[in-house]
Amino acid sequence: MNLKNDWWKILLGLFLTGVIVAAFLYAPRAKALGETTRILFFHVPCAWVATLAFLISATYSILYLRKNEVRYDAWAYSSAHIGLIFTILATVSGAIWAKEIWNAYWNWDPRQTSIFILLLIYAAYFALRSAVEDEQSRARLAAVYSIIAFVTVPFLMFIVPRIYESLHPDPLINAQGKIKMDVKMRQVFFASLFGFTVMFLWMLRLKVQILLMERKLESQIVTER
Amino acid sequence: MWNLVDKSIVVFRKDFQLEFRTRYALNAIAMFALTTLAVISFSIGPIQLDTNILAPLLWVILFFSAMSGLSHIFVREEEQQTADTLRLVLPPNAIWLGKWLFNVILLFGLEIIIVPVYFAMMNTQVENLSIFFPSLILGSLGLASVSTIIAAIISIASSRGALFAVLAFPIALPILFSAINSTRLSMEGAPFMDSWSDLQVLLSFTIIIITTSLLVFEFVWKR
Amino acid sequence: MRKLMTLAAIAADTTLTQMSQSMPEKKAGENIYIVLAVTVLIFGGVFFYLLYLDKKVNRLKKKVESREE
Repeated sequence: MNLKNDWWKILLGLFLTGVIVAAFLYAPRAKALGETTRILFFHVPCAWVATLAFLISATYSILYLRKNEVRYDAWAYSSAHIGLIFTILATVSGAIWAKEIWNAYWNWDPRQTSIFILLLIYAAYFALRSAVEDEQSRARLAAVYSIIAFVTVPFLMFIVPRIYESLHPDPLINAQGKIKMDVKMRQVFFASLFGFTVMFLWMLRLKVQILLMERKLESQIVTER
Repeated sequence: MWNLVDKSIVVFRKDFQLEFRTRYALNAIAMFALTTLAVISFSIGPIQLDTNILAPLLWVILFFSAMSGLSHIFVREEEQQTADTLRLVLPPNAIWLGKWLFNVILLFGLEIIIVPVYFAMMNTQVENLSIFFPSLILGSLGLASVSTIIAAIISIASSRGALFAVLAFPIALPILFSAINSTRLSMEGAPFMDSWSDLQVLLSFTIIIITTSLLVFEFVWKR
Repeated sequence: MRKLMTLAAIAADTTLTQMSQSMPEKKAGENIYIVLAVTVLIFGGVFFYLLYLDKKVNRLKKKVESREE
C-alpha cells in the first residue's frame, strides 16, 4: 500500500468501521422493531447499490452502442457483476430479517418481489453473455438486452405493488402512517449509504481495470504468436 | 413511412409463404399448447378451479407456447443462412416489423385454437367479453413484441431454447401481471372500468417495447 | 443527488413502516445475534469480493511485469 495514493482506501475502511460502531451503539431503536432496526443500516444500502449498479450498467450499455468502444462494455459488465453480488447480499439479509420479524423467510411482499425480478434480470444478462462466443456480438447483444430490461423496470415498479396489494390484502404496504426517521438514525443511515456508494465505485474501478488488463494481455499474446 | 410499411409487408409475405408451405411453426406451438393443456386438465381431473388459478393458467400456457415457437422466425434465418441476403436487401426496421407481424399472426392463430378448447376443458366461461378480448389481444401483441426482439438476440447464441425463456421472462413480466389480472376480472364479470389500468399498462408497455426494439434492432442485426 | 438522497430516505422510511406495522404480538426483533449475523454476512461478502479482486489485480500485474522483462 502506498500512502500517497491509497489514503482514501484507509479512510473508507475507518469510515465504514465507524458506521458499524455507530449503527450498534449510537443509533436508537425503532419502537416496534427492537434490536433488528440496526439491520436497516446495512440492508438498505445493499439494495441501493444493487439498483445503482443496474442503472450504471444500462447507461454504459447505451454508451457502448453509440461509441462502440470496448471499455464501455467493460464498465457495463463490471457494474452488472458487482450489482449481482449486492443483489444477493440484499436478498439474503432481507430474508433473515423477514424471518425474525415476519416469521417467514419469503412472503412475496412488493419489495421482495422487486429484488427477485432484479435478480432474474441479472441472471439472464449473464446467461446471455456466456452463450455468445464472438466478443463483439457478445458485447452488443448484452448491451441491447440491458437496455430492454431498463425500459421494463419502471413498469414493474408501477405494477408490482398494485398486484400484490390486490392479491394479498395484508398491511405490508401502507401509503399513510409513515414514521419519521429519528435524526440520529438518519445520520447513520446516510453515512452508511455514502460509504457503500464509495465502496461500490472503488470495486467498479478495480473490476474494470482487471478486465481491460486481461484483454490487453490476451491481445499481446495473440500478436506475439 | 409507407416505404417502410411496404418493405415490412414484403418480409411478412415471404415468411408467411414459407410457413404456409411447411406449417412448421404453427404446428409446433399448437401441439405444444394442446399438450400442456392436456397435462393440466388430466392432472386436476374433475375439480372446479376458481378464477384466481384459471386466469394465470391460461397465460402460463400462452407464455410457454410462445416461448416454444416464436423464436423460430429468426433462428431459421440463421440456420438456413438466409440472414445475410436479407441484410443486403432490406433495412433492419422493415425486417423487425415484418417478423413482428408474423409472430402476432401466429400467436393469434394459436389463440383461436387454444382459447375455446381451454374454456371447454376447464368447464368455465368468460363473464365479461369486453374485458377479455382487449386483454387477450393486447397481451398477445405485447408477448409477440417481447418474443420478436429476444428471438433476434438469441438467434446467434448457443443453447437457444433454454436461453429464450430465461431472457424473455423478466421482460414479459409486466404483460403477464396485467394480462392475468384483467383476464381474472373478465372471468369474474367485473365492470369494464375495473380493468382499465391493466389495459393501459398492456398498451403502453407494448408501444414502449416496439419503439425500443426498433431503436436497438439494427445493433442486434448487424454483424 | 439531493433528490436521490430523499428517495433513499423515503425508501428507508417505508421499509421501517412496513416492518413495524406487520409486527406480530409476540416479542420479536430483540435478537441481537440476528443483527450480528446479517452484519457479518454483508461485510464478509463485500470483504471477500474485494479480496478476490485484489488477488486478481496482483496476479495480472505480475504477469504484465514478467512479460515486460
